[in-house]
Amino acid sequence: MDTPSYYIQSYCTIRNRSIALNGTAFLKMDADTPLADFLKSAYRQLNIDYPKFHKMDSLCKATFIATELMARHSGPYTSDTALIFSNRSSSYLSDNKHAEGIFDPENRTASPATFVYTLPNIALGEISIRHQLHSENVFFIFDHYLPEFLVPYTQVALDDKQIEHAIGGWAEIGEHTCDLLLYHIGKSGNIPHTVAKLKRIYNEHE
Amino acid sequence: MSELTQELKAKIITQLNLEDLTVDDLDDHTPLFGDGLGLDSIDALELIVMLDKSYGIKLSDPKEGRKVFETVQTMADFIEANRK
Repeated sequence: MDTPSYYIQSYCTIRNRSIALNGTAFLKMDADTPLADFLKSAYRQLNIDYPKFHKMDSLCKATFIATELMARHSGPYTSDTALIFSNRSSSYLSDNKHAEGIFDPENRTASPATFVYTLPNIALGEISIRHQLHSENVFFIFDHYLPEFLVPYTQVALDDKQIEHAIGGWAEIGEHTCDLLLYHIGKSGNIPHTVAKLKRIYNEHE
Repeated sequence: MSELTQELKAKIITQLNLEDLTVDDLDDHTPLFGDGLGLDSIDALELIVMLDKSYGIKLSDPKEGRKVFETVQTMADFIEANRK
């Protein structure tokens, strides 16, 4: 199953307050920079005008930034580019924020702006809106980054649907942490879309 | 009334995460939706919650919201007329 029929055309990693595109640093900030400030700085550095970014939760912001960066290298994405994402905590941060609002005995309020992010799939929707994708998408919840599942799943999904491109990977967001690897794959390129390669790429960003 | 419009602008910017705007950028008569500020349906819901939480005003008729949320000024007028 590790014989490549697809290739990684670009990849983005975000961890420890640094962002890299294809292994090259895009942004690096102090480790004690709040996650929200770090993501905002990345947005500013992208130099785009997309006010909706500020309304997103951290999961959407991080995946938005990564897909935006990759698009600059291997985009624009074709409209049938599939999205195959995964993480461990789903949309926990937004879920928790929403729960705090509705269970607050003093001031019980549901914020619509928080509620709309209480599903991880919303990150896929935000990316689809931004890049005009009308494609297959799925968001898996795993205990840990699992290329052993993602690689064969992606290949079968693409072959089955006769699609040539996908963006896949892992986007785990904590209150103060971000552990992200997203990659854009297609039929051509130099980096094979294999479990071994994806493990190496994931671990190269320390 | 001017104090209320200033307060409303600050609340709108904070509540709706309009990071790139300041109170000074927001004109009293700029349309909040459509070609003006470009707010969306989720923002409209947030504004309804804000009216309730901050001013004790419940909007029960969605059609009423269309007029109330036209501009900062229309919001301020509505609040002045209905606040408890």
